[in-house]
Amino acid sequence: MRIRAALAIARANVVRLLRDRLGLFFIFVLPLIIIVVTGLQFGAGFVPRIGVVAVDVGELGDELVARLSSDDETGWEVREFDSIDGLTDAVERRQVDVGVALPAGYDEQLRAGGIADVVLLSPPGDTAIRYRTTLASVIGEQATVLRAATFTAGEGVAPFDDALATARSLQALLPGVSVRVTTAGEEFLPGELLGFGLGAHSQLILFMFLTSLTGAAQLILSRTLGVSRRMLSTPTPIGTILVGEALGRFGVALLQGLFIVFATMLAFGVDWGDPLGAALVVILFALVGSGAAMLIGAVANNAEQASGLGVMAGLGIAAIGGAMIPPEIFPPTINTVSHLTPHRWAIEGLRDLVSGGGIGSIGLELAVLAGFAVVLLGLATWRLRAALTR
Amino acid sequence: MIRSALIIARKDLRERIRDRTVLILGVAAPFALAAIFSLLLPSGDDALDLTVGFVDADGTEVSQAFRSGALAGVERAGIVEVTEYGSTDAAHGAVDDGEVGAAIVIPSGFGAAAQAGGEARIEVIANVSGGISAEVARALAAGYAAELEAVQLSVATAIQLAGSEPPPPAVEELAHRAGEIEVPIRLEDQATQERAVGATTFYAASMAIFFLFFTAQFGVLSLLAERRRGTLPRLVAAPIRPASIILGKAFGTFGLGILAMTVLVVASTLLLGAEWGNPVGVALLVVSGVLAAMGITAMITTLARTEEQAGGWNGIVAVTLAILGGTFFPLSQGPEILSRLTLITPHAWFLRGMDDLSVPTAGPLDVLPSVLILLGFAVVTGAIGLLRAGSLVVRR
Repeated sequence: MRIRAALAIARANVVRLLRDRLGLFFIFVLPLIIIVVTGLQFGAGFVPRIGVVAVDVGELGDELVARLSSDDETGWEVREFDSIDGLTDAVERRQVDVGVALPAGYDEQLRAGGIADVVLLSPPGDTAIRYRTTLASVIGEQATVLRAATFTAGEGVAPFDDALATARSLQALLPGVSVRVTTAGEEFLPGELLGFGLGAHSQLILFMFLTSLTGAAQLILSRTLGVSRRMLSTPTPIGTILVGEALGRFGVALLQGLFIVFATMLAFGVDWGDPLGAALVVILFALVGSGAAMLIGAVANNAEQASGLGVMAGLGIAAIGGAMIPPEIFPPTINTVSHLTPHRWAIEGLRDLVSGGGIGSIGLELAVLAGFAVVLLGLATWRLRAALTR
Repeated sequence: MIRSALIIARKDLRERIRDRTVLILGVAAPFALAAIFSLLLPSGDDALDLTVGFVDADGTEVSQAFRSGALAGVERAGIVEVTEYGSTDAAHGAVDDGEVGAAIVIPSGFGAAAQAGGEARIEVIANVSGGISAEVARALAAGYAAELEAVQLSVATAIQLAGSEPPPPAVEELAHRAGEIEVPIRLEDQATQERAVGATTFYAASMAIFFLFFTAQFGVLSLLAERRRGTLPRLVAAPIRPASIILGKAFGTFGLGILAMTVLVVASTLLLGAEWGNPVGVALLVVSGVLAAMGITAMITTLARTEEQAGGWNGIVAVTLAILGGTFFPLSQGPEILSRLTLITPHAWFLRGMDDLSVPTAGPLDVLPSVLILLGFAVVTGAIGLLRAGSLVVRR
C-alpha cells in the first residue's frame, strides 16, 4: 500500500471534478440556491397571508387594516388589493390565504351610527375557520370604542365624535379586561431550525450524497477509458488504487460538505452546534456517500446507467430520509422506513447537536452512520476489485 | 422538404426511444419524483381538529356567560371541541401533554372585577405547537374580553362626559343598556371557488414540466453530435434542403416531448390519482409547453460549442427556471417579489394554466392566457434558436 500513490489518485479525482464548471454549479451553487429559497419560505415559520381591499374607507378603515397587520394582534402579512375581483382571484389561486374586504365609506357609515359589513373571502374547506376567530377579535376591539361612542351619543350625553375621542382616551386608562397567554409543551420544530437552518441541514445531507452518487459515473469512465487498466499495469498494488478512488470520492463529498457548512454559517448565520460533533457527522456521512458511489461505480455497466441510477437513488433516498420534507410530517409507516436510510440518522444527529447536544448524545447516530460506511465501503471494495481485475 | 424532414424525425425518434436516457429523464424520473412527493406529503384533507380546554374557577354569571355564549357557539358550529377541566393545574397538564391545543382559564374573582370596572384577566395556556387551536383559544378569550370591555368603556365614557357619577343602581342600569347596543361591525362570510390543483396533481404537473426541459434539448443536441461525428456535413451534402434537416430535428423533438408528456399525464392519472382536468385544455397546455421548452433549449444549445457545454448550460437554465417557476414548492409562500418574478418562467405559466383547469367548470378557453404566453416564449426563443441552428448546419 503506497500512501503517496493513493493520494495522487484521489487528488486527480478531485481536480477533475473542480475543472468541470457544470459540476461546480451542482456541487456548490445549487445547494445554496435551494437553501436560500427554502429559508425564505420557512424564514419565520409559516406566515399567514391575507389580502385586503380597503378603498375609500377613511380613518377608521385605515386603523382596522393597520391592526390586521400588526404583529401584536395577528402576526399576519397583509397585501393590499385595489378591487374585490383582484382579491378574489388571489384567494382562488392561493396567493393569499383569505381575503378581507371593507366596504367603501366604512368610516362614514360607522360614524353615522350605522352598521358596516366586512366580508371574509375564503376558499372552500376549513381555511375560513383558521382566520375567522382572530379576525372577529380584531374587529371586536375596534367595535368596542365604537359601541361606547354609539351608546354615549344615544344616551344624549354628547355627539358621536366627542364620545369616540373620549372613549379612545379612556380605553387606554381603564384597567380593562385583558388576556394573558402562557405557553406549555414541546415545540414541533425547534426554533433554531427555522429560517435557513432547516434547509441547510437537509440540503447538506441531500447534496453530499447526490454528488457522491453522480460521481460514480466518473469511476466508470475511468474503467471504460482504460485509465484503470493502465493504473493496474503499473507496479501500484490494486489495494492502493482502490483506496485512492475511495479517497477521491470522499474528498469531493467532504469538500462540498465543508463548503455548505461554512457558507451557510457565514452568510446566513446557521447554527451547526458542537463543531466536533458536526465534523464527525459530516465525515462519516461523506464516507457513506463514497461507499455508495463506489458500489454503483462497480456494479453499473455504463456511465449513463450509473448517473441515471445515481440521480434517482440520490433523490429518492433523500426524500424518504427526510432531507426534502421535514420528517416531522411523515405518516408513521414512512417514518419507520425512513430510519433505514443513512440520511435520517445524519439529520437527526445534526438536529440533536443544534439543540445543544454533544458527541455523547449522538453516539447512536454516529454508530449507525459508521455501520453504513463500513458495510458500503466493504461491499464496494469487494465488487470494484472484481470489476477492475475482470 | 417535409418528407425528408419526417424521415429524419422518425430516425431520431427511434434512436432516442432505444436509448434509455430519454426513458429515464423524460418519463421515469418525473414520475418517480411525483410519486415520492405525493406519498410523502400527508394527505391534505386531514380534518382540522381544534381542541380547547376550559376552566371556570370564577363560577359567576360573567364566566358562565362566556361558556354558554361564545364558547358554546363555536362548539355547536363544530369548529372547536371543548373539554372542561376542574382546575388550572389539570388544564395545564392537558396542554402540556398535547391533549388539547390550548386552555382558557377564567380565574376566580374575574366576574366581580369585570363588573366593578377593575382589572380582570383571562388566562390562556397555549401549547407551543398548538397552532390554530392556540390561536383560536386566544381569539375567543380576546373576543369575550372585548365584549366585557365594551360595556365597561361605554359606561365610563357616558359618565365622564356627563360630568357626574350617578348612584350605583343607575350605573347598573347604564351597564345593562350598554350591553344591548348592537355590535356595529359585522363579519360576513363569502366562499370563493378554488383555482389551484391538489398536491398530487401539482407534483405530477410540475415534475413533468421540469423534466420536459431535459427531453426538449435532444433535437438540437443531436445536431451538435452529428456535427462532431461528421454525419452533419454528409446530410448537408445530400440533395435535401438544410431547412429539412432542422425541421426534422424539430419534429423529432416535438414528438418526443409530446410522447413523454402524454405518458406522464396518463400514468399519473391512473397510478397516482392526479386530476389534470379538461383534456382539450391539458392538450393545449402540453403542446404550448413543449414548444416553449423546445424554443428555450434550442436557443441555449445553439449558443454552446460542444454537447457537454450545451448540456451543462441547459441543466443550469432548467433548474434555475424550475426553482423560480415554483415547480419544487409553490412560491406563494415566498416573499412578494418572488411571486412576481416567477411569471418570467414558462413553468409558472404552465402551472397557472393547470390551476385554471382545476375549477370544475373550466374549459379550454380558461387556459388561453397561459397558452398564449407559452407560445410567446416559444416564438421568441425559438426564432433565435432556429436562426442559429441554421447557421450551425450551413457552416461547414
